[in-house]
Amino acid sequence: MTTFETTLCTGCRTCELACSYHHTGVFQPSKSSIEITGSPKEGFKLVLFEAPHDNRAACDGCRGLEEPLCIRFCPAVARSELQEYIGGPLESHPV
Amino acid sequence: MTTRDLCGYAGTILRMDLATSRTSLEPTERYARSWLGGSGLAQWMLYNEVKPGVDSLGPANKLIIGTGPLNGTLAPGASRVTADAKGPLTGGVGSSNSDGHFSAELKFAGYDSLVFEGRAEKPVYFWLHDSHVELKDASHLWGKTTWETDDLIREELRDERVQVMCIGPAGEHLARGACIIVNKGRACGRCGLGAVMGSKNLKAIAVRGTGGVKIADPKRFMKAAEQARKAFEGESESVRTRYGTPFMTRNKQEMSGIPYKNFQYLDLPGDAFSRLNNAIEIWQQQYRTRIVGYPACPRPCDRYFRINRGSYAGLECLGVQFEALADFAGKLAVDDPDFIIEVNAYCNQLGLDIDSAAGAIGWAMECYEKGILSERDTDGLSLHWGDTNVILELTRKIASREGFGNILAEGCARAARLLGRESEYFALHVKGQDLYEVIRSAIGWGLGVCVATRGGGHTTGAPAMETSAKVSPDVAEKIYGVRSLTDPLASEGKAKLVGYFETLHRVNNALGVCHSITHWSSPSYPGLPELAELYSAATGWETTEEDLKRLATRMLHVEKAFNILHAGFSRKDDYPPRRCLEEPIPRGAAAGFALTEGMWDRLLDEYYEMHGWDVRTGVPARATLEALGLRSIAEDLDRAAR
Repeated sequence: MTTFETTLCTGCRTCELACSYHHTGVFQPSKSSIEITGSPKEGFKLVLFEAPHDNRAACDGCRGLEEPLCIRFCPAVARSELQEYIGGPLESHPV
Repeated sequence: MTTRDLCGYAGTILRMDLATSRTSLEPTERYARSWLGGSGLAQWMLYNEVKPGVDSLGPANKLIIGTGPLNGTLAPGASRVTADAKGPLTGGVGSSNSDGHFSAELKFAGYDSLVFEGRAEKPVYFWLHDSHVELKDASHLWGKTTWETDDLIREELRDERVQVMCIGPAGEHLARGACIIVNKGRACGRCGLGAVMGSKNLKAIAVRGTGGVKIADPKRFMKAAEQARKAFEGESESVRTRYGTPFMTRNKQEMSGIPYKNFQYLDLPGDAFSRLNNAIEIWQQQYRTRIVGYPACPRPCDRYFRINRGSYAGLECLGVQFEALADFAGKLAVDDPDFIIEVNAYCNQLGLDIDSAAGAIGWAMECYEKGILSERDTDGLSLHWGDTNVILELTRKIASREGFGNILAEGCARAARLLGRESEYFALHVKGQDLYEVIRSAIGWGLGVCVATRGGGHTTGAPAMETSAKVSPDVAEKIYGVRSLTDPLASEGKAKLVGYFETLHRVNNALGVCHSITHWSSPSYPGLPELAELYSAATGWETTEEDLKRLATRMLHVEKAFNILHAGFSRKDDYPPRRCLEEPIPRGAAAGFALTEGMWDRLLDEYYEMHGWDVRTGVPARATLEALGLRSIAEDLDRAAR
């Protein structure tokens, strides 16, 4: 897994919802390949699971979709940062 | 287990008897076809299970924490949680809701609603982790602020993802304006539901869930969710996201929408406005450390502040919303903008609704100004407008019910009745609940506030766009059914407009969706058709816009009947406070405009006729109730009338 510090993330965890839906067809963040940790005070971190972990599926970059769902549903104000992180590691870790 | 698999809904309602620690489960399906979502289910349960005569702060009241079928999904803005009980301020409907992560977490734990019954013998907190349910000792938390409580519980449970709703000292001391705080800075603010929690010795509700929310038709749902989000594309940093709701301040100032000095004036003095307006920019540029959002929100409007200069340097908290500006710069004439952040944070820590705190203090300050109150009444305090030390001291006294604070903790309406001395004129309330909403400069907004079943508030019928939006009459007619949408001083069509928002607001509240991402804010945002599509796809129950309207109208009538049976409310309780009918607006954009009793008579006639209610009493007609499938309510009302 890779942990990214964020500056734009609002901590809404919408990406977790979108990701879990992609893998399971159900909204279930505990199965998401992304976890948002931290708080408004300390700041938010984005943890990306590139390999299966506990119940979590590995990120597959939403293969087959035009755009990863996490990015599509990320609030516009934070999207560029998520784009940068999700776009980066996946290219270097093909699944 | 008596529950059945549902989609959208988690499927199960959990009841907790605090006196015996016994839990029971009930299938959500028992209610969910006939009633809509969190507050819809809750109001029907309260109507049936809490009988007239029950003390709102006694063990027979019930507190229901609810979610809607869209919480925990990607439906835009589905991040609200509801709290419902018989309300301690009005004695009638108590219903409030908040943003935050709680509602999604409760769904993931597998529950739609939590019903708290009875009273625990000693302070407890409720802990729910998927199927694990426990009442835990909270004696070490009693007396703690909401911020301390939130931290201590997550520390104790060793999981930062635990979501907490809790009360502070105000709820423990049964201040009638006590609120329930969510995520340390969001609140089920109105209606005094924190006092209901306090009366049950329930300090906090903590949940953690690892399950999921199933959708009946995922493809259709995702298509609807994506479609609904399109309205927000391109709003990468809208003014709302950048400033939060304080972005509205200039508009409110220009449209006579700020309750200055306890609603005597409806705008700030020019220099005070300039200072406040500059501060809003400074907050955004210098104090804001990040924008904060909640699940599925496409345009977050919360912010985290770190004050880095001046008297309050070092304070860190979620940023203030417009209501705090109206309450403290407005009602109490505070001239130091940073103090608003300070006192808002203090109220959140104490678990005290800012509208209620400033309502009671504003009443007291005006009574002091008019010579009705003196230092002999106020524990020696001189209640001068804008005195920040006095405001903090009174806030503390309210939350602890100490000295003069014990009277203020009753809310301005009860406080004025207790004091007498013709102080009631200065108590600006609807049905016993303090207001921040200005009534006399926007007629539809004012009507929505006055007829609101929960006693004031602007989220169960008030049209916000009346003073803020640029919508052409043609678009207004097409979406809202009224050409006069943005003409605040016009009476024509306003009853109908309130009817539209009574429906939209109830649907939003019940589904768990934030008003601000719907037609309440803009005709280009999702409205009832989009919500009907999301609801249909999520639940698998084919539902039209008309069906949603009927469900919302049923909710309205349950609330209306609850108010009649519990609080004896009638037509007279749907009028604005006397000041609004006796004093013309003294200055500003709407200077000279005077709302009159005759005008209000006609508005109420039109509004009651629209709903099929008796114009003399405001009681729903039997035929109206029967057409809504609510014959049992008609019978209850008949019996009560005899």
